[in-house]
Amino acid sequence: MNPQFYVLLMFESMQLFVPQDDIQSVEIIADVHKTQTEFGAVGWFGQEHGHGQNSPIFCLAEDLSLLLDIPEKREFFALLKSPELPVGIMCDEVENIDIREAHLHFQLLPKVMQNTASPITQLVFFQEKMGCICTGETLIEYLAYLSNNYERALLSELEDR
Amino acid sequence: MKTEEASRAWLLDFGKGLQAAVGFHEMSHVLTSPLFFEIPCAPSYCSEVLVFQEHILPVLDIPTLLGSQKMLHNTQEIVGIGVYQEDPSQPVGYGGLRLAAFPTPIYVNNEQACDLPEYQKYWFSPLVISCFLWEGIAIPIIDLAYLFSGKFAQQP
Repeated sequence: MNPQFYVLLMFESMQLFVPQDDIQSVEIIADVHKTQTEFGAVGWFGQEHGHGQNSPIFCLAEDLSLLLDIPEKREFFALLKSPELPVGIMCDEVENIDIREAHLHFQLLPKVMQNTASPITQLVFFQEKMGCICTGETLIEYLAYLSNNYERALLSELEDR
Repeated sequence: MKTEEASRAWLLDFGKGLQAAVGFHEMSHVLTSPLFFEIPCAPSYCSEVLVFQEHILPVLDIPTLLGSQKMLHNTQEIVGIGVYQEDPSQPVGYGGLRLAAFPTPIYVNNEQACDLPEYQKYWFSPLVISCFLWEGIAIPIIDLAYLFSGKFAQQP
């Protein structure tokens, strides 16, 4: 375990810090098989170019809502480790951060802002912006939560027709 | 008004006709036009933070908490920095309150105590410690420790 090493995923104005140990790999978006899915993922990775399994890849907006259309600036994705199947999350830029070297002090998300559906556990002021810290586990849980909501909304829309 | 038994307090104006008071020692600073940062997935009444003396503080919007629509903050940006302690064994905490005007220092005594009127019951009881009459208006005294405790946290 290297608790001081983080991967910084940047998309739009969002700075998302994820522990390096929770990330399997960072890949380029060209290797994603892009397709719409009924659960909100924007494509798959793995069988052709990667680890031999089909990992779903998600795209999020800066407010952490699901995006179904991939913005042009998305260049990379990080594969989050999971006991079942790695899950991908897209970003515009990616950087390795040693928080000791960068003198970053993470602060717990204030109690009044905590929310069971939020993946954010801590905050940090970095490069004149507010960064959000998530663990791989909380991010995967959050993506599952978004995905379930999307699937439910789609089903209900189909039933209404 | 100032009598022997009077206590000092801050009268806070949150806008939309919402006013409350806190103890004089419970408001440490007032910031004008601070930089706000939106935090995703946070409750609508507390979706922003600011950086104050190297600490990241939540900023509460009382009208949104009490059920009004989110206020548009395109005029004067005033934030009161509240000080609270959940219990004596805990360190002091700080949190921001969006205000519509600068806090007003006032004196309050026991003779001004009153019940919270029915039409102000949107101020729910764990949040309101007591109430007093000020210039003919009932002003609740609010518990900042309760306010910033996270007991309002809910699903987005």
